[in-house]
Amino acid sequence: MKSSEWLKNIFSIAYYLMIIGWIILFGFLLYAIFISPGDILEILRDAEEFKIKSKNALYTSLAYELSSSGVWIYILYLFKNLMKDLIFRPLFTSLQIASFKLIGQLIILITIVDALSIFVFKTIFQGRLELSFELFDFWFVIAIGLFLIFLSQIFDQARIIKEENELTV
Amino acid sequence: MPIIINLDKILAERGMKSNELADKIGITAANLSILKTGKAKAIRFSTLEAICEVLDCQPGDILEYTQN
Repeated sequence: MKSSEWLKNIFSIAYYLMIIGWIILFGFLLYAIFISPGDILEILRDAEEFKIKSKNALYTSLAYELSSSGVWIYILYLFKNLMKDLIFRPLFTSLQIASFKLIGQLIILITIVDALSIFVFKTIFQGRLELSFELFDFWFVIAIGLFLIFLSQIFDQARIIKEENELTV
Repeated sequence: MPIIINLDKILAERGMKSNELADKIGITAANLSILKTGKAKAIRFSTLEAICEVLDCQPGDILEYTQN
């Protein structure tokens, strides 16, 4: 199997796993709202980033996680389609250029928003002022986003060269 | 583009059709059409040479520069 097909399959698997995760998280939110917030609070009491102690913190963090993971699902969806397009269609199309750019911008945006949201949640729910940009979690993902934007610019240049080549008689 | 292709004029003077020229110089009619309509971004020396040879003309008869 070619590496590109492996990559496409990995994106597809990640995409469907993320959807399943999103549905489970949505189920948690519905369970917390309509049945028993105490059970969900117990499960998430020792969350990684900050401790969830109140119902408000639980609802807010679950709602935020749903929106955030929704954006990541959309990014994976774009990646999945982009890989399909790169494998089966001609290279350097406008769709591929736009997809690379959009994915890069979304990755940068959601990473910054994620870091800020943890800061806000800690400030509001724990009364702690703490802003951390860890190497892998923040800068590495930002670098990937920037690289994808750079890749879209390279594809744009390649599209111009390809067009010139095709229009050389 | 400030470079104008006068191929139609030369073809009319020589009484030759586009398809015939395309056949003789070994390019497709579609590519010759791209050249004639000014959509081409570049022309190879080999193509220019073949056109000049078939139409018995100079490159300057085919290509003309005009200021925008």
